[in-house]
Amino acid sequence: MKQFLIIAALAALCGGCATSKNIQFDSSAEGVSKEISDLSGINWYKLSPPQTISFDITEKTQVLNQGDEQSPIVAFELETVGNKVDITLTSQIKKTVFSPKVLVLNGSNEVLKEIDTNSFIYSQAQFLSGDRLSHSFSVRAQKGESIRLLVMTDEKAAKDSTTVIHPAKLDAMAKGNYPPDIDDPIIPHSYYGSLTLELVMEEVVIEDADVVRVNQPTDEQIVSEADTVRFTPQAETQEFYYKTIKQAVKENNIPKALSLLDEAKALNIEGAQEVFIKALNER
Amino acid sequence: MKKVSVIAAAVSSVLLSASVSAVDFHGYARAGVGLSGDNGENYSYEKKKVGRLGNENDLYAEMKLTQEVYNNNGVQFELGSLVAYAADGNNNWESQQPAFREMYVNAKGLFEDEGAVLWAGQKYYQRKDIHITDFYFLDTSGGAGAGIENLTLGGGKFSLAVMHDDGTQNGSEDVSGYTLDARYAGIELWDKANLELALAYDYGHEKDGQTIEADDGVLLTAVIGQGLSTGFNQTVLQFGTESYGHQMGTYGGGGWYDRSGDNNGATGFRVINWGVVGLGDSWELGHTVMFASAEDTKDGDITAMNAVVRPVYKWDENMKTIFEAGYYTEEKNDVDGAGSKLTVAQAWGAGSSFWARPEIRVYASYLSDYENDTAFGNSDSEMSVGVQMEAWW
Repeated sequence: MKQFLIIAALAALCGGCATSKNIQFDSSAEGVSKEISDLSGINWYKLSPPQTISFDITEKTQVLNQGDEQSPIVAFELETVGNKVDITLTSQIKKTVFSPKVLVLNGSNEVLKEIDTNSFIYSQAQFLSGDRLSHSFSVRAQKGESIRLLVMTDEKAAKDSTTVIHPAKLDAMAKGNYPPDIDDPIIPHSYYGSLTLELVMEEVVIEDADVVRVNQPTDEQIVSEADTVRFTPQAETQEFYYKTIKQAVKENNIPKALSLLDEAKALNIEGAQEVFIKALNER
Repeated sequence: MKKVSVIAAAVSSVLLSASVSAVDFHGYARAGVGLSGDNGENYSYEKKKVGRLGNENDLYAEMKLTQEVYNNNGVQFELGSLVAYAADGNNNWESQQPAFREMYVNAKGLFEDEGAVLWAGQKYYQRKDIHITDFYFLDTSGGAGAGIENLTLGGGKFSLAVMHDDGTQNGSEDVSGYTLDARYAGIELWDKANLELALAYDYGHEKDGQTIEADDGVLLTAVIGQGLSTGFNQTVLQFGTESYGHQMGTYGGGGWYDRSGDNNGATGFRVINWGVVGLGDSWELGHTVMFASAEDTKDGDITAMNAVVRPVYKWDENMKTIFEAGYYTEEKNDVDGAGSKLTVAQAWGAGSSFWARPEIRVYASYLSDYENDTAFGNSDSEMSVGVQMEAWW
């Protein structure tokens, strides 16, 4: 009896496994068309870095049909506030994998950069991350501009495949054993998959910048205070920059001070240059 | 104790300073809590013979740090280290036994054959194991050694190594021993099948005025690997003389050569088949079967057999139900031994593969001994329940 109770208690504890927060891009929602033929019909999902989201590309995802190239697409618009954003896109490898390519666009849908499928490199499973294809890159928008990311694939990539390391070999490598001489599994690519987008932004003091975690698949804009900071810097932001510029100069870290000065200028903070020069003179 | 916390601090500080150097962090760990019906904590009974699922009651961990320290003109030097520690895991502060089991340098690209590796130091040397029973059927890893690995020769890869393997004789007299290990791997057979041959020779080096009791032994191993559409299978044939002969009958793997001299003249052989296959979308099956026979060993003549199967049912990406059934029988020095284990476990892991880890399992095991009525305290059977985590990375 005791043993049964213990098993039951332990099973109950183990039962509460957390499920990850996920977005489903559902083109059957109102006002969204399932298939579009040019970028103007795209439903841009707004994100505010720093933020990490997971999403699936399924049969319900919006498809971009440009004649000879068709692909499900996922579209994001990033509020960058003129700061550099480091972006990592990861595609999970399961029985199939979505081989992504990314178009970086500005607010007028002009293509600024294209990251093709070959840039996404295979990483083997480690810790809690499974086998995956991933790539990291950075963007910095002009002040006032927004950055748009279009995640899609193409026919050539979708017909290709990725070889992953056999898990028995990972087991052997982890334990210092000799990896068995067996064939590595070949994973075919697919038009569908599970991806994670991670956005990291350099530290900027923005009032009330608690990033709202996405936990509902809706088309509502994510509310964040970053919107209001774009053109009129808060007093605290200004104070922060004055203080850190002075501190950097005091520590004789001129490169840091100059980079802070650039940021301050990008944020429209007045008087930063004067503070910098004054601090230099006071050394 | 202190050693372990210093190492843990070193590991974590290395990990935090990620951008400074690309250190690879690998390792293994298992720990759990459980109890048995009549014998206090959950039992661990002959896991090499009946399987390890729901049959382990220790805390064991290995932390391996490797780093490429030099990379220029195609020449790469990699430094590797591994600390292992074993504990009961029954109290928060236990006197543990940390051991530095690996400390080596691998150098690649020094020869025309770019895949060949020159190494020196101490490391686990090309060990081969069967996961479900934690049985290393070929493990000649000794103390520190040196060698060259994976030199392309003919159609395969050749490796040669020499390692310390000291022993004692006549009570506490030290004997300097060495293991010479030669491998030839990657011999292509038929479709998706390959062969690897291994030879180990254990040599005792006499000191001035010393007579070495134990004869030098030879261990021959042939491993036939067969790739299958949903998994793989390996057949292992081994033959050993002297102390290696004794190891054939007692689930040994070629290390810790017995230098007492009591196995002189012994011979032994064994045949093992093991593998993992997928059956449909939701099932995977791991198994191992062994037959061994040895003669004229220090335990007389030995005959040993065992079989373990581990079917796994995958509910989804993370949850699975695992069964394990194992049975062994043996005759050693005219004494019979036999036992079995039945385990059922519910497991949650990072992924649905048989090999996916970390994994947390809740298990129940039923152990039986068919020859010894008091194998478990006062009884010939016992049951254990518990929760265990196993991780490797």
